Amino acid sequence: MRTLRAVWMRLLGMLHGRHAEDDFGAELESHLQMHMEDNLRAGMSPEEARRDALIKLGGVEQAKQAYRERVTLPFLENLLRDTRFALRQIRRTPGFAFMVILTLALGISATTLVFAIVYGAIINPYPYRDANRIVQMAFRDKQGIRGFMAVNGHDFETVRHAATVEDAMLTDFADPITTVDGYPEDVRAALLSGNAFRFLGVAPLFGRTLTEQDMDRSVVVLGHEFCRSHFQCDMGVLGRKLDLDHHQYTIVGVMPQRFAWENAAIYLLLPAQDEAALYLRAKRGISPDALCAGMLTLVRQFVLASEGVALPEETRLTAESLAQRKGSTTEKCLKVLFASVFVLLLIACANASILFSGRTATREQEFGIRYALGAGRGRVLRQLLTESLLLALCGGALGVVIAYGGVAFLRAPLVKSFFPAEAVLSVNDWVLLFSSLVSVATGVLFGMAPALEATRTMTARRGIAPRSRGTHRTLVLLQVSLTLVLIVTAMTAVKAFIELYHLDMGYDSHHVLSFRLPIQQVAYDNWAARVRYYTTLQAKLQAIPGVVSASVDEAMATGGGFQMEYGLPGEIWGPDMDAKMPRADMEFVSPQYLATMRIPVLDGRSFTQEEYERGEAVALISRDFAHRLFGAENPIGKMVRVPPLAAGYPGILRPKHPSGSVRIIGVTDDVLAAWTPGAPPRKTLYLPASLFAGTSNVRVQLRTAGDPLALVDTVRRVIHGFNPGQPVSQVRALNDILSEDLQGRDRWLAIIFGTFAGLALFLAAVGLYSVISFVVTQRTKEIGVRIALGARREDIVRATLFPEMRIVLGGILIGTAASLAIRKILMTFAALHTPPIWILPVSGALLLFVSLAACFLPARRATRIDPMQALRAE
Amino acid sequence: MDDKKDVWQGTLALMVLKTLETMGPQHGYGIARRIEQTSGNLLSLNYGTLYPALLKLEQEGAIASEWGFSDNNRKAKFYKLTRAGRKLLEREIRDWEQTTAILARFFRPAEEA
Repeated sequence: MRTLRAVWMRLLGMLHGRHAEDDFGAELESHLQMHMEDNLRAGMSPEEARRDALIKLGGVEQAKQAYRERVTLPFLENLLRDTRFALRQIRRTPGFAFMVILTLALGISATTLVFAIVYGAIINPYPYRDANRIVQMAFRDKQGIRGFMAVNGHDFETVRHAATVEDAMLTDFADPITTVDGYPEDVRAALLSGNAFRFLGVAPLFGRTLTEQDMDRSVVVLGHEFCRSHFQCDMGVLGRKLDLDHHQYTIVGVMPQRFAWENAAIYLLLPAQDEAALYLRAKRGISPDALCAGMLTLVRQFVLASEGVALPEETRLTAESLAQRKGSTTEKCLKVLFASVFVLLLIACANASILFSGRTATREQEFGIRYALGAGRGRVLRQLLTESLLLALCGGALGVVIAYGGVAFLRAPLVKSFFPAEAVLSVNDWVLLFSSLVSVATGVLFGMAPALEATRTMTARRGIAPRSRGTHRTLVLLQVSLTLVLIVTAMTAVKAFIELYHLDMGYDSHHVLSFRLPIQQVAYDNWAARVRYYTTLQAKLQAIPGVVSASVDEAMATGGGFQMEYGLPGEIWGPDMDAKMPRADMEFVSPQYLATMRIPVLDGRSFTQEEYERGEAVALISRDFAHRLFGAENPIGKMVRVPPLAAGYPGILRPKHPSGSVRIIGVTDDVLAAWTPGAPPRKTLYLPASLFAGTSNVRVQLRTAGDPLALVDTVRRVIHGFNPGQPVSQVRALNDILSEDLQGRDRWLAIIFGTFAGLALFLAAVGLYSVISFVVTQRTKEIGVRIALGARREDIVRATLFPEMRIVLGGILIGTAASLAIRKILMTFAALHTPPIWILPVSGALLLFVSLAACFLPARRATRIDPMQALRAE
Repeated sequence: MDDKKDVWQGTLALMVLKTLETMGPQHGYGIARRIEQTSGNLLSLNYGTLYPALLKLEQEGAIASEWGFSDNNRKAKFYKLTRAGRKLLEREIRDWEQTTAILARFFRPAEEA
């Protein structure tokens, strides 16, 4: 308490330090007087009296110094004084300060922004309790993940109480149809086990969540987005009814925005005994291997008990975390992004360093005087570092402001392409803490080299040792080589995106309107009626003016259709064929699909409307797939087994005598498996949709003559006129789907990397410009003499430019070597492929050109130096 | 080195407080002389170190100061004990006596221990 009071008093003491010193001066004076009087009284001579008093005191100045150090907090006072001095320096050279602050602000804002993205996408994307420990059990084989573990209500209890499991939950989906405003629409509903909300540990925004006690009640919890788009989203929504498939549900709660489990719009309870996908958290300390082994034992028991067959020996389970499911490529991209933003920050630091050292060089005299007056090297060093820190903090503050703008600008597009639905992009406390740390580190980093150099020359014998420019050279070298690395990275990203943009996927995505058409199961519950419904709708849509071709089926060119087992007729598969047979994409299409998507039929023919309506077991095969199955033989007329066609799935209607194999009648051109240059072609069979007539995945593709989105209203009206209960959802142009969902991430990567490289180039140019300007200023006298002695302009330009250009070239060489070294890293970076070699010389030439341009102005100034003035200045 | 100085400063503060308690308000020079006299001139005090010690006590709130006039009608700064200072002094004296008592036990002839 007493110490605290003392510190407080000393802080106050700083406010009136001057007054305290005068006061103490007076006190000392009176002390000396009293002492002298006593000494005189004791019989000393006046001089002796004074001397004795001073000796006993130990010196006036020493006493004052000891006192002064006690009045205030000397460390803090020095800091304050340094800060005031630094502020004065900054005010005195606003241009310099502006450049340094701007440079650092650019670097720090980019770093902050990328950190905000990394934080939102990787560090803390999910709002769920212990989200990084939530896993799904995946069945894996050589082809990848074959499916995820699902259990029924009974087995679920066994899993929950397994020794390795902390807790588990179930999720299934449904697409019930609702009519809130006018048109019917299908809603994505997640069906959750009763304990799911407790498992996920997220509190509702209003109302309550669902529990086991709600099992026999018709209650629903809304997602935030659905609540906002369909209701006035406040407490008043609680207790209202929501009609789902003609059944009334009471709204009991609304979840907060970040709760977006499986992207569902609403949440319902899963009927107690239903089978659904399993999510679980292992007990703490249980290794993934132990968890997988434990779960595999359980799965074997479950399968044996329910189906009477043993799982094949080689079945493997792996634990897939939420993050892994959302794609680890994004994480890799972000790591590269994070690394490159630090490179950018380093370039900015080098730049600030160059500017700062140019600035300190002009203050050599000041440092000399300080040294002569007794300031230690450490004291001046601290003074300079205070200046650099102050500049860095200003840069950091401005950088955070810019980052706020960047986040506001990027939030909407980035969230779609980089983030899981739950994640938010924001400048939060952690991001602010991060950028503060970065600012401080930056200040020390960029201030250290010039400060050390300045204080070294200060203590050296001034005037004799010529000022070394080693620091400058190193900085420029560093800057140029790093800039080249960034340019190469950016060019690779941009090139990858351009390739992506012009990639021929094997179908024509322009002028196509694509939407979902979920069909109510109960309404069309026999095969003939359902197929007739498809064909009638197709005919209605085809008749719309402006529609070139319409296709109603379950195929989607971007993928996401059925993967089914296939085989050749001769092959024998045991009872475990499910787990062993290879799989291919089965596209269940209408007769119009290939023509609508402009996928060429290379050989044979497409199936006819009659074959389609009869449910004929025919198929077209993609070229690459045909080649793999039949080699050089002509595939037409061959049979391919597709066992699931005979076995069927729940909810799928099939012709009266479903066949387990199909006859190949045509060969189509290939469609790429992924939206990546060089992606392998998909192994595809195109089958009549009537062979496997489902409800939930029905889609429409319309090829239009003009802008596809212009037809949306007409299409809705036509469908509504035909069947008012028919929902139409996710209406988008196919090109938009591609650019937003598939190219989105790569486009933004290209834009961000491009911006970084542009910034780096700008900073390098500024750095070079200031170096050459500095050199010219320093060598004014020498250049003046040269001109006076008759040097020509070219000589002057050469003399000023050549040494620096040599460094630039050196930097380009080092940068090239570094870029070659990190080619491997860029290659692993999902979207990017090995940067082609030509990118290196092109980037180098670009950098050299910009450097020359940056050097040109100061070099020209050198040629205009007036020798008379230059010499007089001395 | 630091340790010694701390001990010295600590005891100096105690002497200052005790002096002010006995003598009432006093100026720095007076305190210094009094400490020397009380110690039977065994202590040679560097007067310059007295003032930071006074300042520290003042910052801690143990003493207060104000300008006044000395016996010889000379302007001087007078220090006096505050209530907090009086309490502090009591506590310090108690602590000090305890410390010396403990030390005294160590210095007693061995057979008594």
